[in-house]
Amino acid sequence: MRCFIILLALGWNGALFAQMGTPVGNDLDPVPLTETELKEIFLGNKSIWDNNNPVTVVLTSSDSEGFAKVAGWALEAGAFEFQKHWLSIVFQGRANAPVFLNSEEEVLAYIRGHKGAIGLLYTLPVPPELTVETP
Amino acid sequence: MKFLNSIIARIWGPFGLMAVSLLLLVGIYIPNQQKGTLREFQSAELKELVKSMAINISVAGKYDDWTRLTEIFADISERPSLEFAVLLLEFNGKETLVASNPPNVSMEAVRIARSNDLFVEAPIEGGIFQGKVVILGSEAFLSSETARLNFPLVVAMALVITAVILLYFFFLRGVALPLQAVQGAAERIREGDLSKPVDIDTNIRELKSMNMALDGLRNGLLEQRNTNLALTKGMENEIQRQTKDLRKTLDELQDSRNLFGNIIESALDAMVIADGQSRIVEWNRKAEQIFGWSREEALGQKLTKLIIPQIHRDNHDKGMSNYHATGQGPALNNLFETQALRRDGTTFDIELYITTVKIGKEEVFSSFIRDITAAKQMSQDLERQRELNSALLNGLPMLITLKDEDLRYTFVNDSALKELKQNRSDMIGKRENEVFDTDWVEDSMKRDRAVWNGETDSAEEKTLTRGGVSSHFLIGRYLISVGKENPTSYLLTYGFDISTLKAVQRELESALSTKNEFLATVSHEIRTPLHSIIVLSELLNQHDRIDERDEFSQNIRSSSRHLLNMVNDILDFSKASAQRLELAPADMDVTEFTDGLIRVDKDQRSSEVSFIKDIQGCEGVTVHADQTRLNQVLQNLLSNAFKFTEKGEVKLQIIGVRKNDTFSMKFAVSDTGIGISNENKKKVLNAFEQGNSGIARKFGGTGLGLGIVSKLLQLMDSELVLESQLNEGTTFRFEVSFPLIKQQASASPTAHTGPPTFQSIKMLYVEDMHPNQMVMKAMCKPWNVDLTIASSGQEAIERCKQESFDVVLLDIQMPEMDGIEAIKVLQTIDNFMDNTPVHAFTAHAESEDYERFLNLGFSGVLTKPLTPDQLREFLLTHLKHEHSDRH
Repeated sequence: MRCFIILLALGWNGALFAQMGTPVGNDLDPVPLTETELKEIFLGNKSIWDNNNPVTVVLTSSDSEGFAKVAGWALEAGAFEFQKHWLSIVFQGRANAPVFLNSEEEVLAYIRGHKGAIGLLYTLPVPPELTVETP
Repeated sequence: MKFLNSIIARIWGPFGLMAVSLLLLVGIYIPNQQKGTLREFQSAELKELVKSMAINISVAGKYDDWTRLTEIFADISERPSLEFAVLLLEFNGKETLVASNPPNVSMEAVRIARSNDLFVEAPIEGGIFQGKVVILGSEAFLSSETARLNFPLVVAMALVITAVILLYFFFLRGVALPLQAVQGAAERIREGDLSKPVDIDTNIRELKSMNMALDGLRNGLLEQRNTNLALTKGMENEIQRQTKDLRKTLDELQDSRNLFGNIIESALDAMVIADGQSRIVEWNRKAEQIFGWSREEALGQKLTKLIIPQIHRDNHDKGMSNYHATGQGPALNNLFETQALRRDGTTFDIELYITTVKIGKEEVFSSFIRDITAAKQMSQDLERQRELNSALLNGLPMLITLKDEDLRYTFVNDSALKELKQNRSDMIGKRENEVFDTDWVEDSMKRDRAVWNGETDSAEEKTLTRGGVSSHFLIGRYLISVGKENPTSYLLTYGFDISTLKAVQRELESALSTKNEFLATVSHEIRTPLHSIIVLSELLNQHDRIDERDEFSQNIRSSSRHLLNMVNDILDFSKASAQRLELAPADMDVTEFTDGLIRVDKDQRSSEVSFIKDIQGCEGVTVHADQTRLNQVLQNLLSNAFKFTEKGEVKLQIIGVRKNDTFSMKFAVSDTGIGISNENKKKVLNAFEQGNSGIARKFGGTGLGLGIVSKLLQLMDSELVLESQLNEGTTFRFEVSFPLIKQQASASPTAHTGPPTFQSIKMLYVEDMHPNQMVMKAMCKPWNVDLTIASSGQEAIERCKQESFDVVLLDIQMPEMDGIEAIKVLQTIDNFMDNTPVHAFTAHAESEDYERFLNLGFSGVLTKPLTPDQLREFLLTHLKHEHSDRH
């Protein structure tokens, strides 16, 4: 029981679930992308692809489970910290603001319509055309 | 430079004011106005921007709509009007700086910027984002914008100012500078500078007229100046000549003053000049030294107050009054002595000369003052020295005269006047032959001349006879010189009166003769008994003359005693001469003493001379007297009486009379002998002398007897009186008083005891001389004395340690250990000195020797030679002691 409570408490912290989702993207260059490179992209440290497409990070809404997972994986912190991180770098003009959508479906739809957009899926299967190669 | 100053002074006023106004307007006021406007505009723009940023962030937080954020924040970075933008979020009630643009803006910078009016902020309220956005407008942007807007205005202003300056310079060149030149020319003329002509470069007609007028004025003045210069030159030459004459006169006057001043200052005498009111107007250095007042102190002071003593002030005032009234002053122009007053109040002698000098209408009194204290003192000293010398020479007990080269007397001392019975006035200035008419004058003057001629004179004895009295003088001469530079020579003659010395010399010669006679007599008197002793001693050993042995012995004994008496006489007289003869009084039985007085020549004279003793009032009397010395006196007198009496009688009379506590004894020894002439009466009492030398030869004797008697009687406070008639006889009388000890009615008969025996006496005799040892043995043999003989002090000590003695006779003078050392050792033997009397046995017969030996611890002193009778008496004394001790 005690272990359950501990695990439950830790479960709210995305950092404990530092697991990368499945990357999806549209017309990314270069590929394949390592996890580290993916982390750099989802931390806003890359703003343009080699093929000159702007890097657009697409995330589920800030109060969604997926957002928390991405925060735990990329920043090894919670959703609020990840949100503050993005606000900080956007405020300094170092990165384009991410796009927040309500579901992974909307995420897939947005990526499909915008070149250079990249997201992580945790629940939905990845369409082949949007698959991002990883080593 | 002057020109430039003038220019600047002229253009600075209006142009400067205008330029400053323009600069203030264009450079400060307008930009500030524009800047304020821009600031308001920018502030409004910033407010809008921050508001938009806050709204979009709020939307992003609330609705996850970040679509505007990228655009807005990208724009921030590129806005030059923005200093910074800061995103502050609240977490748990605390505001945290999350991001800034540009990066690295600190919270401190934000806090500081809050006071700036370009600082604006907007709250964020969106979802989890709670906080504010803050931005600060850029001042640099504002300034650059202001400058950018003002640039055309500044350019326009610069153009205007340049145009104005150019216009002014054109005006300056055409009008101001020529006017300046005119003014300069006028000022030069006013100041007298006519060296340059007036030539102004101008095209203005009025200025050209002014130029001509000024130039004409300059030429007129130039001409006038040349005229004045000629006049001035003449005047200057005249002034220079007069100045030169005046300076020469002044120099001469100054020289004269300096000379006068130097004379006054360097004068050897004090110089004091006073005016008619006796106020001092001049006071030289010597006056400062003499009186002690400095020149500054003295000037203006009254003479009476400063240097005239109190007692002379009235006279001075009267003299001055008299001079003012009559013009006469007895003190003027006369050198006289008086007294002056020093600063310290002491007065001193001065020599004063006063004269009057008229200076203008003023008459002053010049005083020349010389301090004659030292001179007076020297004069007094000289006079005193002269008196001392005179007193010394006059007081000397010798004749002293001085003669000059002409042999005339220049000095005769009092002693010479007295001895020569002359007056000084009769001798001074005269030669010897003009004063004295005696036979020695010629010789004396010859000797004087010889000494003047450089010969040495030896003193001569000279007899001077005055009034029938002759005196002996020792006369000497020598030259003396007086003075150092120009010495004057005198012949000094001295004369000592040696009459007394002559008399003494005669007496000494007489005494020497007497002494020689005495020595001859003594020699004879010693040799005579010695001859008998020596010869008879040898005859005693001749067996064939045994029958005469008694006679020989008697003769030897008599000669020996005679010899001893003579030695004693000589010693006594020697003591008396040296004042060392002393009496040793003790209790004396007068009866016993008189009984012991016997004729002393009984074995020399025949029975033709009888001896009569007349003793009265002396029975039972004991006095305190020196029996030995009294006996010596009487024995001498009796001896003489018998000696000089061939036949008749010798009488001794003694009359004793008691006077209270004293007993007076009158002695008279008379004989019927040869008597003494009146001429010889004085001599006989002197030492060494008998009536005449023939007496000694006839009767023998040293002649010391009566001399010793006289000395001894002097010690007894008595005097020998001589009564004698030649060929009839002589009587010697004297009276002596002795302290009375006792006086009995009748004398108790003397108990005579039989001859003593000394077998019970054990005596140690310590003597190094063998003959003396034999003598002692011979003397003791008849009495059976138990005699032990030791030859040295050391042997005596050993004997005394081994056995006891009743008495010890210890010779003093012995080799190795003498008697004195021996008794010191004997005193260290336990109880020895308490039980055994030790007597010194010595030939040292002086009384001080007695005292010395007794003080050393000797029990008594026996004197050599010791006769058997004396030894017997000595032993008898110890036998009595022995018996009394034993009893």
